[in-house]
Amino acid sequence: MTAPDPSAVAHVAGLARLKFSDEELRLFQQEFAAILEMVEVLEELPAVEGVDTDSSAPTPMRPDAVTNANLPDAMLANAPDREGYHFRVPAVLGGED
Amino acid sequence: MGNEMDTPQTLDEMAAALRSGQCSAAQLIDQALGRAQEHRHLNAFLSLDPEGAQQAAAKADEELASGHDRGPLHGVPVAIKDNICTQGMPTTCASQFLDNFAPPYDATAVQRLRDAGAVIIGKTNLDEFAMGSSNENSSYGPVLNPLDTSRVPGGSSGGSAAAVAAGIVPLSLGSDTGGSVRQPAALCGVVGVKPTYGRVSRNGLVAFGSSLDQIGPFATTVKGAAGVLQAIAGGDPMDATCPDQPMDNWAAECEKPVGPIRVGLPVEYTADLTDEARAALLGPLEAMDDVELVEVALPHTRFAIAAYYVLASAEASANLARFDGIRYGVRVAEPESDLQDVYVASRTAGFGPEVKRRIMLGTFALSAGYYEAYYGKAQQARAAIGSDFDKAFEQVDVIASLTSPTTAFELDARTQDPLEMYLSDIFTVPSSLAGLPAISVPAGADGKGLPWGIQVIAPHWEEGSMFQFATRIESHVASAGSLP
Repeated sequence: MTAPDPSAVAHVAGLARLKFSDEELRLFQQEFAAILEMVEVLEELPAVEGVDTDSSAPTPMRPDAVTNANLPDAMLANAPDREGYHFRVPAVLGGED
Repeated sequence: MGNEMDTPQTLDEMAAALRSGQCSAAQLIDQALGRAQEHRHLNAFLSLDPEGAQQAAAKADEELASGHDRGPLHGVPVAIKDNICTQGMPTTCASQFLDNFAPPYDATAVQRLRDAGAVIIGKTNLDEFAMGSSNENSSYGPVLNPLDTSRVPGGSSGGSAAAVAAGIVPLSLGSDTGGSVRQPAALCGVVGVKPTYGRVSRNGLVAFGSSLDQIGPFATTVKGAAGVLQAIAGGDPMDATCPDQPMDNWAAECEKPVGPIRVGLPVEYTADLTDEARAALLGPLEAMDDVELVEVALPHTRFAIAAYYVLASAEASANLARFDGIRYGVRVAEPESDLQDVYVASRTAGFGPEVKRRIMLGTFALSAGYYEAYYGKAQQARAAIGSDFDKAFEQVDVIASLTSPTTAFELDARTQDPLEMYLSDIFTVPSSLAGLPAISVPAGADGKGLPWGIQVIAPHWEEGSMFQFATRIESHVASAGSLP
């Protein structure tokens, strides 16, 4: 495994919906390389057939019922922008993507 | 209330004083708020709620006077890590992103503390979104270690640890993903617990690494921590990973007479210790009666940090996708911005460097072409580490190690090297990956007078044996007079 080049780091940033300056990308690439080097130890792990991901306890089930109250004011209290009982958002269609 | 000498400090002392009439809940809360002000320089709190706390204390006093006793936490001041939701109180996660966020509901653990009569005085500082081991990643500045203000308190629950260590509150809640309760407990000289994964509901804990996150208590005593865990633990329909499992009366377990115990010492955890660190661990254990020390092997330990940073970061990258500037938190938008622009600008402005680093690492590890090599391998390492512990617990009752390979380090000592910071968690991460309960108990001091912590790890759901052995260490260390 090799560390990603600057364009690959920029691609990952796009996937993560983050933006970095060229200088930040360069610094970030160095840190990233060091972290990935540490992570490469995983290559030495002997192959394991079928990972056992069972937890130690059964998953509890609950009735499929509505439990949350109808509290539009409370839910909208933290909205960065709202109009009436709606979250106000920028145009979804019409962007360059 | 009497002078400082008579002031109740521990949970037990407060409970007794409230019931004997020596003091009221209102006085305990005023004392806690006063101490929080005195210790402002520690930066342990991000917000205080004097009004809400005084109201709750008045109610607690009325209830006690009318014979309605909610139990050992009734009227006791507590502090809550600021990534655990508290209705109507700020919950910032120490992030600019959530600077103005006040949740519309209480976390299950918070609701249960309130039901038990505890009084929340405020919210404590942390590494942003609980990502860090020194509390230096907070957007609101670092927390200082109360025992030496030139040093870190550990992290990420540094504020909750410091608030207990400074005597502001006897109890607090933190959250532990890879050691974020145990490591600051060790560095601040208090008790800290990471319960079995699934023991405490994560409902209302702002998600970081969902397969690892657990809420856990800090306290001045093992029994105090046991009492808090008792109050917050138990099945919750709001968290599908939190089943109803039998619980002992853990505070009573702490006081039970106990017989011989087999304690595992993992060779991988002691091999690289300095002489001083080794003595801090083995000194108390070898001097205790009825303790048989057994060397055990946890051969996959060397994969733990790598597996942890891949898995926790992968989960974080998915969990933190919800912070998009639409429903809460920061929104950065220009008049011509479309939705994508708003996501990118809001996240870029709202998150700090370590959070971005982990989102990037996690996004990379989950991206096409890399998934099997990183995430898949890390999952396999996690399973192998769990199986190591299963084998070890066939030989021993509990496992003991140091909680942290070093005592509290100086501010800025590790901030330039993320990898060195990650290694602070080398002894706590494996048990997190395995979902095991673990506790840190103060155990003597280094040459500078800074505390060491001993970690006790128990099998799944066996917090009782963990608390019992931790109490024995606590009593031994207290009688040896070696605490700072």
